[in-house]
Amino acid sequence: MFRMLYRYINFQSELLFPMAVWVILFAATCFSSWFGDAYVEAITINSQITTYGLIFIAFFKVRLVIIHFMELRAMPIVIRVVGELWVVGVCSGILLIYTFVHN
Amino acid sequence: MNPIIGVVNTLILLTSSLFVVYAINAIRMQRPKIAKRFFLLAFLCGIGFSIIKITEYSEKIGEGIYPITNDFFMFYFILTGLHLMHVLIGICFLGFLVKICNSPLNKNIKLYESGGIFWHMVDLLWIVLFPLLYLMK
Repeated sequence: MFRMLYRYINFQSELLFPMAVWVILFAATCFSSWFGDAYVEAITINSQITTYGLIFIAFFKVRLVIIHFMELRAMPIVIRVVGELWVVGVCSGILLIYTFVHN
Repeated sequence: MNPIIGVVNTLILLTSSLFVVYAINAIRMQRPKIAKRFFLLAFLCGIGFSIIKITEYSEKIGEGIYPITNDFFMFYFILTGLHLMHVLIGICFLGFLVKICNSPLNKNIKLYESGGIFWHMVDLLWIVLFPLLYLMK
């Protein structure tokens, strides 16, 4: 009986976990879309802050997809570190280029 | 630039990625019929994305905006055009996986995983392109 329960819970988490990640990605997309549009209109402190926020949210989503959908989670440590470093590297690269071009 | 179309496209691709994850899980659990359905759903999402993209291109060209109009639209057309090319390749790969799901080739899970990862990469590219082209001011 415990085996059935274990298999049931495993099955549910295989079903629900990707769905939970999808909900987070969906929410992040809607939030970043609002952030890109409404935030600048309403507060207009600095379009640079908006852009940094948008890029950070985008790479947060990228990291979620790489780790959960592409299953980097299950990989050996070395490959996982390379994957995470890639996300951090590309994100900082884009932000650096944006900062220099903007100024 | 219409952010709403961009958001709809992003959500379509995210949903198709979810379907691919479920399809790969189904293949691992030796259930090719369920996998076939999920791959088909992802395939249809990909086709939906392409149709919306082509509608958007025709709208822009109808307003007289071409890749040579200015720098931004040059980047827009080239980046999204290359991405659309990858989407079309991904759609072909997904269609191929739908077709072979029930045949003896399903012993080789690496084929399905490669197709799945290629589709996730396509989704990843769009997740980065979307704020750069549609949301940044």
